[in-house]
This record gives sequence, C-alpha cells and structure tokens, in this order.
Amino acid sequence: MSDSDVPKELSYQSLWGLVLSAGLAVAGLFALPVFQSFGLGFRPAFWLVLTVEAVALAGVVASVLTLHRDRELD
Amino acid sequence: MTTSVLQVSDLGVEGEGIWLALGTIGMLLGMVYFMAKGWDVEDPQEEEFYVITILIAGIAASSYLSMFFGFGLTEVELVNGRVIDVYWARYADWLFTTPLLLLDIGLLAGASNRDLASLITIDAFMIVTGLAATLMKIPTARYAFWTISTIAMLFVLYYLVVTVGEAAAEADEDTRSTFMTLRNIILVAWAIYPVAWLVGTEGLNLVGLYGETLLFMILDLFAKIGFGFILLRSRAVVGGDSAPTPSAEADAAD
Repeated sequence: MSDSDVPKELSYQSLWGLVLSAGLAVAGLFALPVFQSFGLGFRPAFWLVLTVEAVALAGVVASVLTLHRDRELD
Repeated sequence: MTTSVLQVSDLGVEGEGIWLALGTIGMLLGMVYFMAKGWDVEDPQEEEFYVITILIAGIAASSYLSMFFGFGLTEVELVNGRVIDVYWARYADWLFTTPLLLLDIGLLAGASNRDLASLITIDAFMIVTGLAATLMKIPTARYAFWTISTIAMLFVLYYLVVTVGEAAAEADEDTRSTFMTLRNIILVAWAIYPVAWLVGTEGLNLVGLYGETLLFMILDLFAKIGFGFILLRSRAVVGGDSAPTPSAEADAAD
C-alpha cells in the first residue's frame, strides 16, 4: 500500500456501515427464535440467519476496505 | 445465572455449557484486550487490522453466548433414528469470522482484492457445505458433504500458501515472518476442524458432545484470539521496535 492511496480523512459512511453490519451480525445470531415466531420452520429460519450473516459479512468487508481509502477490484 | 442454567438444562446440554461459558469469556477477554490495545491507534492500515480482529472476537463471543443460552442449538434426527444435538451458531459464526481471518492475513500479505475475493468465496463454500453435512438426515449424504467441505478447505489452504504466500514473499522481513506464523496457525488449526467433526457427535460419534465442545472451544480460541494476539503484537502491524516479530521471539527463546 502506498501512502498516496490512504486519505487522511476517515470515511464516516464506511464507519456507519461497519457499525450497522457488526450489529446485524450479532443480532442474526439471536434472531432464529424471532423468525420462527413468524411461523417459519427451523431450516428456512436458519437459512435466513445465514443470509443475514452473509450480508453482514459483505458489509463489514466493504466498510473496512473503504474506511480510509478508495479501492477497486484489480 | 440461575435462569440461564435452567434454560440450558432444559435443552439437555448442561454438561458442555461450561465450555460454552468459558468460550464466551475467552472471546470477550480477547476482544476487550484488542480494543484496549488499539484504542489510540491512528495509522489507517493498523486500524484496519484492529477493526477486523476485534470483530472476529466479538462475533465469536456472541456466537458462544448464543449457544450457551440455547439460541444456537437444534436437533437433527437421522433416518436411522439417531438424534444429534447441533450447535448451528458455530456455522453462522464461522461463515462470518473465517473470511475475516483470511482478510486479516491477506491484507497483511498485500494480496490483491481479486485474490482475497476468491479466497473468501471458496471459504464460504467450505462453511456452507460443512453445514450441509451437519444438517443432512442421511448418513451417506453427511459424509459426502463433509468430503466436499474438506476438499474445499484444502483448496483454501493451498490458495493461502501459494497465492497469498507469493504476495507475502514480496513484503519486508517482519511482514513475511508474521505471515508465516499466522499461516501456520491457520494450517494447523483449520486442518483439525474436519477431524473434530468426523470423530464428534456429528460424525462417527467417537467423542461425546462434552469433549467435542471442549475441542472446538480450544480450536476457536487458538484460531481467533491466538491469531489476533500474534498479528496485533507483530512489528509488521505495530511498526517500530515496540513489538517483537514471532521469529524474533523464537530467536530470543533460542
């Protein structure tokens, strides 16, 4: 990483994304009974939890990688 | 505490509850340590490592807490009538934390985003097929998915050693040394997980739920907190002379 691609300013948009994604990931781990209370069986509720975790993971990765710099897939 | 014990007892898992409680405490202590250590960090790249490593410990702590209180537990009844207690929260945890571990080591090595994306995709496939192995009701299907997941893990480890290793080879000596240590932690710890699954209640049932939970807790603490401890103390991340590299520590020990 060169110094030039590291902005001095923190991206608050990425910071908020990070906080929300982390919160979503934690909530997902406790959400299965909530999903089941809406009438879902274990497996559909569980796959919903995994989807929540996957979305949260994508949010965390994107937020971390853009926290201080602009990145693109090379 | 009494309420939680009763809840866990109701689920018939009071035995291994102690390991889940210790796992929660261990992950929380790790998270608090990483947060305290990284509180004043201002360097952007160093900050990234702290954020990722703190999240790994935090999500793992939440997962252990979820399993302790019985949220992360279900039963799978096989076609042969055998009923297995499955801690599904492990898989949700691993789906989230193993890519972050790979992201940590990938960023350290200076791997390209494309390589990181490939590595994380294979890793997610490994976790999902491992989960499929756990939820299948037909024993043969369980072992088939376990085999697929284990092969995917071998691809992840190969990719880590060869592709990410190539990127690390171009880095400075401190980074290379730290990368080698962290890579070896992943190689050893991750290779034990499928074996633990195979000998545990979800596989051949040679080890009971109590021993299996203990084994997974030790592996998780080693693979997450041990990994983070070495990464965040390394000179490759901290910089300067304030922290020894793993190799320097080994040299000093000699």
